[in-house]
Amino acid sequence: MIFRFIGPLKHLAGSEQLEVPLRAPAQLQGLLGSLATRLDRLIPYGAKTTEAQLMANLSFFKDNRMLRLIDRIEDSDTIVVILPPTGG
Amino acid sequence: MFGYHGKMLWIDLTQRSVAVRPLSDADLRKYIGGVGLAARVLHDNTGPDTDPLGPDNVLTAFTGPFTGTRVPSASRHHIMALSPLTGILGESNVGGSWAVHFKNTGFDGIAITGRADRPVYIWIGDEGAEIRDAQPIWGKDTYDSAAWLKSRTIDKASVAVIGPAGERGVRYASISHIGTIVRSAGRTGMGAVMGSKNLKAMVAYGTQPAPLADPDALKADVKQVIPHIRKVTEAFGKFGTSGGVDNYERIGNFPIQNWRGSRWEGAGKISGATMHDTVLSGRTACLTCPIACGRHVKITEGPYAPLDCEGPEYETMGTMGGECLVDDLEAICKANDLCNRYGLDTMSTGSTIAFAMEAFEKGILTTEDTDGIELTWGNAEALVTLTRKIAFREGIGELMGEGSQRMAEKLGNNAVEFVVAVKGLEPSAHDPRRFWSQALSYATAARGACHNASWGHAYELALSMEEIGIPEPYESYKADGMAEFVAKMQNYQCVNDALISCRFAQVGKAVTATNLVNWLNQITGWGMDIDEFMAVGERIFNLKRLYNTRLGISRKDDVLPPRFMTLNRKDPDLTNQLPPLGRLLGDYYEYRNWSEDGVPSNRKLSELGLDRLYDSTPAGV
Repeated sequence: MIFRFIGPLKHLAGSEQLEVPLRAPAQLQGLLGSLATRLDRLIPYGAKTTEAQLMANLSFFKDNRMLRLIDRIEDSDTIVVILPPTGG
Repeated sequence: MFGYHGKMLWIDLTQRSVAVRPLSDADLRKYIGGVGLAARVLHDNTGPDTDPLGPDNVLTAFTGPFTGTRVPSASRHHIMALSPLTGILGESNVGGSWAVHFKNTGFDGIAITGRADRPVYIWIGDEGAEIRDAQPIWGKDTYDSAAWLKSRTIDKASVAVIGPAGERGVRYASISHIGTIVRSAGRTGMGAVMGSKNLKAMVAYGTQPAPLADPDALKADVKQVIPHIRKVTEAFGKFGTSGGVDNYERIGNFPIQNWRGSRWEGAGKISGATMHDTVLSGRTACLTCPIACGRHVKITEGPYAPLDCEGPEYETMGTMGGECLVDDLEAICKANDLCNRYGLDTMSTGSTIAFAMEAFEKGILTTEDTDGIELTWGNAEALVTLTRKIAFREGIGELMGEGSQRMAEKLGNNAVEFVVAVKGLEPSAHDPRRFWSQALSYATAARGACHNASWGHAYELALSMEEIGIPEPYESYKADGMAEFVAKMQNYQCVNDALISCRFAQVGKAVTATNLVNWLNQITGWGMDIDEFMAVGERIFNLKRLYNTRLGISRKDDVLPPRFMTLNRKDPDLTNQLPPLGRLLGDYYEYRNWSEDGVPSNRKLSELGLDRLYDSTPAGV
């Protein structure tokens, strides 16, 4: 599967995307470790524990649908990753 | 007529007269409401000879067709007047409940001119409006005043009220809106305009919603969208607008040390997540809003206890926290409460204090000037003390109450080199070196350095809107096409503020332009398409520019302060990001069909149906 980075995340990640081979479908939660360990600059996000805390810092979309951490990801999937807008 | 009452209140405080004026179908469709109708009223009734703090200034507020309906996140109104802070168009868009309660009295908007000979408040109910005595609460803070006003009207009423800052003409005094929750119309000194008119408050409560063209279709449509909004804004609601402080510091969007810093470890101490885990006692929501981004905080121990009040939001964290290097969350909560209580804009307050801290560091201000306060970076106690002094114009607060730009000009010693303001307005907490769309938007927005004029940072970060020609998030630092992107976003946010819909409904693409157009048609029965919808936004943006043009604004004023144009931040990841403003402005004027000096062309005005305003444009356009 592919994590595709949007906006400033591309700069933080140092690339436009990250490919993570999946032998079997997996929950998004289980892929966060790969995201964090393979991209040093995202480690702070990986350390977040609760779903809400994570999603305050990162959001994941597939086909314009926002994903929850329990959603199943397949090897053919492309997951769009964004820094969610906040601010006043 | 659906979605409107088709009339507005016109109140002359000098004459103590209350009149009702009709709003035509044609004007409603042309300007929709909110910022559009407010801009038209301001344009037609004030100008270069108007004193912002004189009786001739007109303070106007408008709701929109979404107000009081089932449309989510739409309980807002738009306030406008000639600004005492900037001397040009002033405006503030605010949520809460006042808009709904006001519109349910049977009016779409209100305009107030003149000056009362003694303190008054305006009561607006189902039977119309009355001017009443407010002498007993002149000098009282906003909370005590609201309690008194509700006791003399209706407890369920919403109160738009000024505090001591507005009474004393602090140029960035706000209007606190107190119903079941508190929201402030902070920017550009609208509270000072109220104070100059001896107008303490506007209290509203009505029971007459405007009729809708197709309420069943609206109900069904909105019902489908609400779960989506709840889902994609879950984190936004849980951690509030300051949920992204850490992210913004990391990518270089968060303001640090009067905009000269690169990195600040204190950001994590004042983030939305930290607030959630420490002082947060609950969430608050404007009427009909499923997001509930508002914070309620409670502090029971320490120097700022007891505190049980509305909590600070992102822009306050940026200006009072990052800009001043104050990482004491409880102190920021206290200063934020003082701003709500005394009626001050948290953003201009924080920015002006940050500017003063740098002036102190440079020796331009000393303890002799500051009433003995050591105005050092990160001094949380000074932040709280100065907030109060500004509100009451005590000591150094007299000078600081003028705003950072005037303060810099009065201090001399090249202080204008490090003051950070555009057209006199201190910026929002979004760095235009990180998001060039905000550089261009700060330079061209009608009220000065306003992030909401385009909300471009959100569309560089993550958002897109295919219907208006933005199919992907805009590529940061790409100058080609930036002008068109910013102009489209400014037009879109203008029509958004005419409806009125909250920006935050755009988070996660929860509410799209298609949703807005559909809802507008279900409410009004108009059959408007997306092109006409966007043309309304463009018309409003040009009308606001036209107003400022008449006041002398041109390209010479569409500039950014030296700190944004020349100061490269030291962190390697944040260097070489200075915006190429000259090039962007040229592209922008061309795209907008404005002259090289930034004046809307007659052809453009004609295209937008603003022909009869020709006479008020400068010669040679």
